[in-house]
Amino acid sequence: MGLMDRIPAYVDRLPGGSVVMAPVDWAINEVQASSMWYMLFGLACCAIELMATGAARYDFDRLGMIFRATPRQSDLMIVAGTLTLKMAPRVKLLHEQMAEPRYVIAMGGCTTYGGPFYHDGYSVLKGVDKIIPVDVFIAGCPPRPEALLNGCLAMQEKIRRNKLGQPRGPAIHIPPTAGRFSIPSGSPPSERDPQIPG
Amino acid sequence: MIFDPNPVAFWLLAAMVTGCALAVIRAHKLYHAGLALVGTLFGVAGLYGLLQVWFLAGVQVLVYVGAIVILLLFAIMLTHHMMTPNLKTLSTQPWTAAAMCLMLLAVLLGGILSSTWQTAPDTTVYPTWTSQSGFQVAEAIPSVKALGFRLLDPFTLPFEMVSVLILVAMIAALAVARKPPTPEDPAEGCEEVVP
Amino acid sequence: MEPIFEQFVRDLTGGFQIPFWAPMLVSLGLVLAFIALNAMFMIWLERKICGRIQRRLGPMLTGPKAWARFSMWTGGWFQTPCDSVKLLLKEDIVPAQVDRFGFMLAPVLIFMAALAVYVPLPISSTAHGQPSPIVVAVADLDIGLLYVVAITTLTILAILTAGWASNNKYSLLGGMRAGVQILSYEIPMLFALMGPMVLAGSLSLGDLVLVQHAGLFGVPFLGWFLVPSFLGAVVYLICAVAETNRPPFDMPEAEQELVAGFSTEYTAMRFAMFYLAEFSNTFVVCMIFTAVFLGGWTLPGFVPPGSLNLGFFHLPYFDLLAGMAIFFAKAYAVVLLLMWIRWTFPRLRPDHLMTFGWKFLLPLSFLNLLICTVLAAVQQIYFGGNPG
Repeated sequence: MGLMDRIPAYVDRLPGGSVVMAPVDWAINEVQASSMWYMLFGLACCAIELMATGAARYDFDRLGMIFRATPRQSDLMIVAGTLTLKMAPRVKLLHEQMAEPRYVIAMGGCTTYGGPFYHDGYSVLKGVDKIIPVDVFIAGCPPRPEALLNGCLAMQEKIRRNKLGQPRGPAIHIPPTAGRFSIPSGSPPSERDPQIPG
Repeated sequence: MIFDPNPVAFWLLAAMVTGCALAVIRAHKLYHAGLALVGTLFGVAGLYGLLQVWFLAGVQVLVYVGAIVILLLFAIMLTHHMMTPNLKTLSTQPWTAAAMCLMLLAVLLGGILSSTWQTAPDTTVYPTWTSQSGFQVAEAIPSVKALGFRLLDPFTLPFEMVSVLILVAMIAALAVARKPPTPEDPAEGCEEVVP
Repeated sequence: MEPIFEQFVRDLTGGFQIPFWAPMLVSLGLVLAFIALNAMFMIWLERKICGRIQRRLGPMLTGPKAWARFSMWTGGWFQTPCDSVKLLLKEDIVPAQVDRFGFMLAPVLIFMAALAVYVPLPISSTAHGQPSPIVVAVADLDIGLLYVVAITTLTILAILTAGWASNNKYSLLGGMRAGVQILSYEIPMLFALMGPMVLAGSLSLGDLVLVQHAGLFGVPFLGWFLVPSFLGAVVYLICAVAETNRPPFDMPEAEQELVAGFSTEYTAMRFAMFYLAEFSNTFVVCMIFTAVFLGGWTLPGFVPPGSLNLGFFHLPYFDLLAGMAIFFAKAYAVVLLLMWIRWTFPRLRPDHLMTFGWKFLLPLSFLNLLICTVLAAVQQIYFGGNPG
């Protein structure tokens, strides 16, 4: 966002500039947080949980998240699964192909620190943050869909704290157990969750 | 005062047609030439519209832009270097070309100057943009109906003959393009490809 | 459009003559606003219906969260406005290796086509302040149906250009698939529309609706061309789905094999224009179906009064408003049908698609033309011509 990076620098210098910028910040953040289109790609078992989160029982679309198959149109990259050294340059390339503002969620232990391959894995990258900036880390191997939704809500909270022209805040770590981010229920239970027998 | 935009529209369309035609022959990429051709054909359709022949304008866009140019573009995409920018656009025989162009110009000018330019008897009814009649040319000339009656009343024979001619051309093209049958190929070159 | 607009301004201001360009500008503004707002609503509806069919909820948490507690249809109302603004604010990437001219031209071209196609679509009629009832359209062209089909072909051009200019193999394949598909399905579509043309004896969409209102064989309930030209209606609907690249005919964007088809390299604003044009075209085919097969803004045996007088309240242009309500209700019924089809059927294979179009739909549309011609001849001989 070339223009969006330069405008606040001019406006902030004016007297009362921050008063003008606050609602603008709010609107832009709210819009971006409400429409995080994630990129359709998965690397290992975490991808199965990612698919489960997108499907009927958990439903990413409630947060306004839909997948786009091309990096050019996606805002959020959910690195789901073991990132091997061979795959790492491709992921970096995909991240570079995404348009600003772009966000990254590292899902699962492998993407956070190498996971079970930390000690003996000769072919696994020990953490995605070595090649691309990560906004949210989600613990778990693989994380449950609840944890992933938690991570997405945390991502939204982080976007809401953005300020134009200032660097993004530090990465958020989601612990394996559910934390402070919980999903408000959308509608009456009969509507909300299809009951799966057994 | 009633502003008559017809001359302005004519000159704009004429400039568009000529400019795009120039672009067709001078474009450095084949695909750009195809796009410029679309501009030319659209300009011609606009000229038809200016002459109140809306049906012809619609058919021009439908047939030429919608079918023929699209097929041309498909053909261009099947060529090898479709992104190559250094297409040679100038003729190798400029003087011959100039002579031929002059001859064509002479013939066309002869035709234009000798024509009596028969105009429709009721041209004064629709300098169309008055705020009263608006763009309602539909009542003035029911062009589709008139065309239909013309085609099926005095011009039936030529119309049918043209269609037969086109049919013959189509069958001939099929016959020429068809693979000659070989003894080990019993389907005679028109087998269905099963994917 | 012009006479009604003039009459409206004259009523309001007491005899002010508007300049000749004003109706055009006003129509342009109205159509643009309609395209944007309608596309936003349709995308929201599409996501909700998709959710309903897949036992999900669709967008719920965008916008006032209190509404979302009520039912699934009250949640997520701000979703598509948020998406649109986000797309506007995103970085606009023009990749280094693309053909810049074509890459920038394609979204403009496709949006131009989507905009221009609205010109002859009639949405209502009014008798208020007019010597005789007139059709409400931007311009009820004499060649309306032909114009619509001709302008639609620009879409192919734009999609091909987008695919070629992106200099990306997925884009190119997607663009070519889309081109072939739209080109092939245009022919049965034209022949399917020819049945109603013959029945009405006119190409103007306004005339088509008026003929349907007058009825076939003197029976108003036989009037909707859905009845005499039923095959044509079915063929048109199938071809319309294929023309707008919607599933089950969405091979051009099949994401398993072609990433995102011709729009793979498009970002932000330019992608939004493709998206907008796609939904606008979807609604346009529904509007054409309504006008050609479903009797447009009329109901059999119902003519709304020119103005409604309730004693305490006088509502002018009542017939215009009632006609618009009827028209959009019908059009949205067709939209819902298309969405149902979209989320129910699996995608076709390209060669099946071609076989289906050329070997099944085309003969069917010929048959429909034959039936309609016979019916039109019967109408002409025994019931004294058609009003067209």
